[in-house]
Amino acid sequence: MSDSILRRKGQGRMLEVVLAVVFFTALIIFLIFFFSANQRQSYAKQFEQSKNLQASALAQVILNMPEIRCEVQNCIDIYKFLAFKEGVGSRKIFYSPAFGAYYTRKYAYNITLQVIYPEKGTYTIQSGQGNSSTLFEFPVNVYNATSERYSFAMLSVRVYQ
Amino acid sequence: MRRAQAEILGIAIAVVILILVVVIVVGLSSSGPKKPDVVKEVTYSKLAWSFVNAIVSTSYNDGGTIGEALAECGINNDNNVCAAVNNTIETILSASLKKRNEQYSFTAKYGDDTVMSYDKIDSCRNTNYGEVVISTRTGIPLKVGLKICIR
Repeated sequence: MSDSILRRKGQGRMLEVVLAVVFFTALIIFLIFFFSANQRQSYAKQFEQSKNLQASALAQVILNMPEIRCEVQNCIDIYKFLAFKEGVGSRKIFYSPAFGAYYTRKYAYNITLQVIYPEKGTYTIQSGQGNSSTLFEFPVNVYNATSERYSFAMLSVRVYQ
Repeated sequence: MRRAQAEILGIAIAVVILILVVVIVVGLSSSGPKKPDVVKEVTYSKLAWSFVNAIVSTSYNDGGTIGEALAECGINNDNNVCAAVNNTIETILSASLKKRNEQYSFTAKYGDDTVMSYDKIDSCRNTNYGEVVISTRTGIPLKVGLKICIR
C-alpha cells in the first residue's frame, strides 16, 4: 500500500476521534449548564423559604414577649405595645437576645400593628431600612384596657436584609 | 466495512440520545418544584386557625364577642343579628385577607345547619383549613372554619 493512502486513512480515523471528543465534551458542558441552572433555582427557592422563616420566627418572638402580650393567646395589649415602642430604641442591647441576632448582624425590621375592627389605628416600630425585605403578616387580637375591648388586628413584620 | 461502521455509529448516537433524555428526566423529577413547601404549609395552617380564633375572640357591640353573636345567630336564627354579624365578619376579612389578595372561604355551622358561608376561592390547587369549635348554651357546638388557598 502506498504512503499517501495510509496517511489518508489515518487522517480519517483521527478526524473520527476528534469529532467524538468534541461531541462528548459538548454533551458534558450542556449537562453541567443544565443541572447548575436547575440547582440555582432550587437554592434561590430555599433562600426565599429561609427568609420567610426568619420573618415568621420574629413575629412569634414579638407575640410572646411579656412586654406586649396580654393573657389571651395571640393577643397584644395596645398600651404595653405603645410603651414598648417608646422604649425599644434606647434598649437595643437589652432586646438583642429577644430579636435573635437582628441587631448585632445589622438586620433591620419594621413592625406594624394595623387595628381593623371595632377600633382602628396603625402603630409602627421601625429599626431601619434596607433594599430587599420579607413580609410576614399574622392576625392578632389587640386589647384596649380603657374600652375593655378586643379588636381584630394584623401584625406585619418586615425584615430587611 | 464502512457500512458496518456507519451502523455502529448510528446505534452509538441513539444510545447517547437515550441516556441524555433519561438523565434530564431523572434530574428534573428529583429537583423539580414538586417537593412540598413544608414551611409554607405549616405557616398557612397556623394562619387559618389564627384568623378564625382572632375573629371569634373580637369584641362585638357591647360586651360580647363575634363568636357569641354567631352562636346567637345559630340558636335564634334572627335575621337582623345574622345580617349584622355577617357584615362585621365580611368587613374584617375584606380588610385583612382580601386586601392581601388571598383566596378564602368562611363557614359557620351550628350543629348541622349552616349559619354563614361565603366562598371567595376561584381556583386553587392546595388549601389549608382552620376550625374553632365554640360551645353554646344549648349544648350544640358552633363550628367556625376558614379555608385559605396556599399560593
